[in-house]
Amino acid sequence: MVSLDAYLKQHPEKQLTVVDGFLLRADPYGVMAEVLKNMHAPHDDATLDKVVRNWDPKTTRSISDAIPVTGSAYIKKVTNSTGYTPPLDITPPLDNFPPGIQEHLIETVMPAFIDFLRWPHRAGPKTLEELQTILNKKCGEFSVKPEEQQELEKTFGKKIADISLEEINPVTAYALVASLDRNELNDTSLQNITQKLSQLREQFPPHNKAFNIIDRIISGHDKPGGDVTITRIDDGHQKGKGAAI
Amino acid sequence: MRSLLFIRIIQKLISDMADTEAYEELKKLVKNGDLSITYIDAPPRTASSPFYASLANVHDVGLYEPLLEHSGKEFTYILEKFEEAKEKDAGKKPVKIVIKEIAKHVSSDNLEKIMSLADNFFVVMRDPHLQLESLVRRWANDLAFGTKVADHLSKEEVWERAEQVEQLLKNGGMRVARESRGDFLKPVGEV
Repeated sequence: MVSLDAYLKQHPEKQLTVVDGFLLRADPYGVMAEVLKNMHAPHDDATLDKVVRNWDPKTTRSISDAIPVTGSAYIKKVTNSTGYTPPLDITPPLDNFPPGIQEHLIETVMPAFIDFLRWPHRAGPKTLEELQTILNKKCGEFSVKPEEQQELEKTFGKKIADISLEEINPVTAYALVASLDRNELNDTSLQNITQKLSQLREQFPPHNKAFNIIDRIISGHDKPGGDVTITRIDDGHQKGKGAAI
Repeated sequence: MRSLLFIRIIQKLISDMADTEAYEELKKLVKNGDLSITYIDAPPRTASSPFYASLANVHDVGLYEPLLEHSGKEFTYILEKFEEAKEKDAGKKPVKIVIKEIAKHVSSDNLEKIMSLADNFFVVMRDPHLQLESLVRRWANDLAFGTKVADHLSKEEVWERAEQVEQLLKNGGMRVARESRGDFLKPVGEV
């Protein structure tokens, strides 16, 4: 078993940066600028353009070299990409999952997800205001494929220019807001976070079960990024808590 | 039969020793500033592949999920790739390598070794609702059309098959269930 927390305490020269897949695709310039900065790599406009939307085909070719293109629709999609695509997958309600998978999601994967979101070095927005700017982005601002546009407009009953990322990903939005570091915030900022969480609850009742789980996980923590444990199991058997990755 | 087993054990020991030597060599290269490693660790379906593709643009060598494929010779493989890059450009210092791996493919031992080599270490996560839905979609499609052909099923059809997927995970044993094993998705019903 490897405790990241313990390992990184022993090796302060090492830094783990957590990247959330939603933020990465919703705000690739912001997240990648921070990632490159953390790597002490150049993060000028030209470099950012290269890593966000002008990928050299040889970089994606290294994926298809490792996993043949014909082997997976997903790999084929990534291999043909030249940049990040927006996060337009609609979050399913928790009850859609069969009971066993649901239990796994609640008991194992979600706590680890929240642990990592609260990690001190998570790339991306750190304040509610910064986060809200990203959550408010409308799908119309992105390059959307016709079939995606059709599905989104059918599901939400309005034009993509009016559908926000928050509406598509309300659980992610709730998790990100709830995981913001509240230390050293003044009363107004704390109140704004509480208000935002209440607003998400009112706006997206089908996800209240997930919101309750997030609240329960957060209330069990006393410090952000505390004690993240990665459990490695070589023989396929569960051996401990926190086995999400 | 016994001598065949003996030969295999000896071969494995030699291979392990060679890989340990390769790891020690990589450590020296990192220490001397000849090599810089960025490591990305992630569960499947978290956007870690696009993240890898993106970062590969600012590295000299990209190694996509190499550890399972080269199991037992992981560090030998990484060293080979370093040497290939050095052959192309002898003056390159450091040679920058980015490695992306699915977390469950990496043993505790290897994770610690990679952490000790890596200058930059990233974990990619994603809302488990979307991540697990994506995995259920993968498995449902595998069940319907054979392994990893394509995602042909509509969302409704995927959810119709979700219980079938769960049943498959409970029973285990099939190839598609392999992705559920290890430390990412605990086999449902198995304690």
